[in-house]
Amino acid sequence: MRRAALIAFALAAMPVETATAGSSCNGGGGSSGGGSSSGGSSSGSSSGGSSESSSSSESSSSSSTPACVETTDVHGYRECTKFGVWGTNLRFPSLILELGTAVRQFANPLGERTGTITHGDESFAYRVIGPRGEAAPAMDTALVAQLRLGAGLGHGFYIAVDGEVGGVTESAGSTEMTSSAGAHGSLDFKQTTVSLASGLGVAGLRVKLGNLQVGAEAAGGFRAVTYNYHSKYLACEQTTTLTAVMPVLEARARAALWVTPFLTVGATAGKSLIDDAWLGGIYLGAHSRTFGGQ
Amino acid sequence: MKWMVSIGGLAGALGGCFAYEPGSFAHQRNAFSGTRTTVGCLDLAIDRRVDMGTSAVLGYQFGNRCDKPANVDLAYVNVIGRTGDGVEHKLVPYDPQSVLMAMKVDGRYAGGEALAYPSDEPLVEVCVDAASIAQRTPERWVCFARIDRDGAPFTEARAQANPDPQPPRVDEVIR
Repeated sequence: MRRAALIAFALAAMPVETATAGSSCNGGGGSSGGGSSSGGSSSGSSSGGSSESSSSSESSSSSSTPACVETTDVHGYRECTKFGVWGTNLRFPSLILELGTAVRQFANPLGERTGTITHGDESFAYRVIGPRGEAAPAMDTALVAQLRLGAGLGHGFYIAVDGEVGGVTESAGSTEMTSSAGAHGSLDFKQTTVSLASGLGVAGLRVKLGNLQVGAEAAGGFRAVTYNYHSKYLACEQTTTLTAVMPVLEARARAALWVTPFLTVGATAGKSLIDDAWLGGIYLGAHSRTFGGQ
Repeated sequence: MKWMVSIGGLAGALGGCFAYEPGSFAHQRNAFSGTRTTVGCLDLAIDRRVDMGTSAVLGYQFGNRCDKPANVDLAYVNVIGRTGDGVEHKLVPYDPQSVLMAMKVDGRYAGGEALAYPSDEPLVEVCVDAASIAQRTPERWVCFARIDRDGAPFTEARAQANPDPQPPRVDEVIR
């Protein structure tokens, strides 16, 4: 089990590259990761997904049954509501739903990448370089939205799954073209946007102190950072995407105020156990049990 | 499906609308009508409704004043009915599927139930030991006279369309 986890971490640390979508020229594409077909399938599945969702909503509306209508609320005579719905929340673990936002800084995972971009009949080599060589690696800064689903385990312990998506506001990477200009001039190649998505498992301990809840937790998982590049050669424009997946392991401290017995407003701060990455954020939490069942 | 209910509960909690304020006898989802009393952690409101045939119907509303879950025992709550000739009967709630049971209501949370108590004869008075709902002692009896459809105390005379006799209603009796 431990060996499998180590292998998973090692695999995650390996950069994954995909390239090129949205080409406006014939034969366009990138050489790294089969970008052309990847991009095409990506956009295709995305549109397919949306049409599927619309058709499923149609089918659900056509097959909907009339809502149950009570003629009395007296137990034994009513038909829609079971006895004791007011105690339903105690039949399940204390559930946690949190929405938050945070600022993250993390080491730029790009490293050094090379690839080619094809515009028409011409190919151009490029190189993307993340920060390197410095004693303290330059950091990417990101603003993320966070969603947490968790459950209390009793005695203050809890587990959760965190998901976050966001955009990098400051990226330390740089790009350069490594091949000479084409027959019709040089290629314009630059970074546009950088986005990230993370999935983390969390385990922690929380304690209620009056109207406050304080806790400490550990989070581990993976973060995918996607760097988007735009290239233009004459009228031909392409988007190239490089994705780097990195492991995340961090310790966090949290403090929250119970604004109602079911609602918290809190702040969190975390520090990576792998590098100098850090996190600071705020969140709104809803709990299925009074004061989180504590 | 049960998880959907819980997630629905979470969504409701997001609105912060579920919390019961101790002593308020008010909650967004429950009207605390009837006789009010407090037993342990529970704020209770008990009301006798219009009979269903010869079955007396009692409405129970409860809010948990405490931060911890509290017992609510509607299955074995002591209820006594008195017929017109003064005979007392211990009443058992109508529960055709045998699902009534003692449960807990979460801290700072509220709920309500309406239970029918079948009887062979109409019951002129029904008394409830409110303390038994919270599984507490000593007994705390609350009694209710039979009421008419318009909420006024029931009398045979009114039942026969006599418009105005008004015997006093027994609201609360502590024995």
